[in-house]
Parts: sequence; structure tokens; C-alpha cells
Amino acid sequence: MRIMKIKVLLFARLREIVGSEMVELHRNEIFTVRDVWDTLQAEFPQVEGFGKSLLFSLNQEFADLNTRIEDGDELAIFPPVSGGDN
Amino acid sequence: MRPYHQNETGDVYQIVQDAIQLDKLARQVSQPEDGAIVTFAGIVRNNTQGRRTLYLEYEGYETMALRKMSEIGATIKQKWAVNQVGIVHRLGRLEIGETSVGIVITSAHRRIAFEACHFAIDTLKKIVPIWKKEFFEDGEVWIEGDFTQLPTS
Repeated sequence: MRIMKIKVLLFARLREIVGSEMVELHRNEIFTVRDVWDTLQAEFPQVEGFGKSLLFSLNQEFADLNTRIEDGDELAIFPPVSGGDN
Repeated sequence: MRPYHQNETGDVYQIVQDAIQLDKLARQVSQPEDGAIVTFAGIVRNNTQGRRTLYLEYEGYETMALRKMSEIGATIKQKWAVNQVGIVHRLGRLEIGETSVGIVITSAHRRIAFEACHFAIDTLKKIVPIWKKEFFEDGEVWIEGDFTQLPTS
């Protein structure tokens, strides 16, 4: 069975909760962003409850839970953005 | 002296770690055709709802942030007859009074430059992946955007 390698970047409060800015997943049976998020929640239970207010991007474009993932993709998960002025 | 990098269309989209020089950015992108230069500076304020802020830290997903900043510029140039767009965001620790984001819009006439600049900062705050953490005397908190204003693409 083919093992996919997915790089997951984490930012801001999510990065702090997980304790790492990057997690690499090596899995089969990963087809969508939702599969990655489920895997991450299984490995890092502390992120549960965070999921309703997160944004996802795939290869630097906004994605959603149903977006399909290919081997080698760069997925990022982060809170709603707050840059710019105050 | 050209402190900022202009792309092939003369626009600037940049993330920096040191002080933003908005006057230099404006001078760099301005041209003889311009009748108006509108600039916006986002500044670190000394309080949030009366609670005294010591400093802020900005964190960004730099590759995506740059991509989204140039998308904002491309949208502006489609919607309005602006001449140049400059958007520079600073990351790292910023002290009270320092500039976190600088925007310059140049055009032949003032109205569209004002409108485009307003659009630029409002859109930046929704779709450019940069976050800030506010440090108080007795704690720290991530400032998170409004999730109901979800970007669609």
C-alpha cells in the first residue's frame, strides 16, 4: 500500500498548543484535509475543540475539509488571521 | 536608495523584520503620472480596551502571506485604475507606536486611491495569514480574527 507523506504546518495558538510548527504525517488512507485533521486530533488530543474555528490551506491556497490531498502536499492549519493594524 | 523590491509591474509585496519606512516606499513607487498617493500605516497601540499593552509579536505563514498580498494587489489593479500598489508587513516583536503594516496606493486621482487603500487593509486582515500576540504586564493573548468572515478561496 502506498504511504503518503504530508507536511502539516501549524501557526499561532495552534502551533503553541501542539508544541511544534511542523508535523510530518506518513500514512496511507489519507484522501482529504479532513483525514489529516482527524489524524492530528488522534495524535494531539489537546487540539480537540479547536476545530470549529480553524482555517486550512493546501499549497498556500485556502482549502476546506473536503479538499483532496496528494502525496507531497503542504497543508497548513491556523486560526483566523489577525494581521495588519489594530 | 531603493529599500523595497519592486516586481516586474513596479508593485511591492514584502515581509520584513525591521522598521517599515512608509515614506521611502511611497517615494519609490511614485511616478510622474500620479495625482494622488494614499498611504496607510497600521500602528501598535498601547492598550486593548483599557488594558495596557507592553508589545506585540507578529507571526506569519510567509510564502502564503506574500501570495495573498500580491493577490490583493492584482484585484485592486483590476477594480480600480491605480498606478502602483505597495504592501509591506512586518513580523517579529513590535513596540508601541511602531508600524506593523504599510500600504501605498498611487493613482491619477484621489478617490480611487482612497477606495483601493481601504480595500487593501480590510482584505489583508481577512486573507493574509499573519497573526499577532499581545503581551500585557500580567499575561499574553493571541488576537484571532473573526471566523464568520471566512475567505472563500
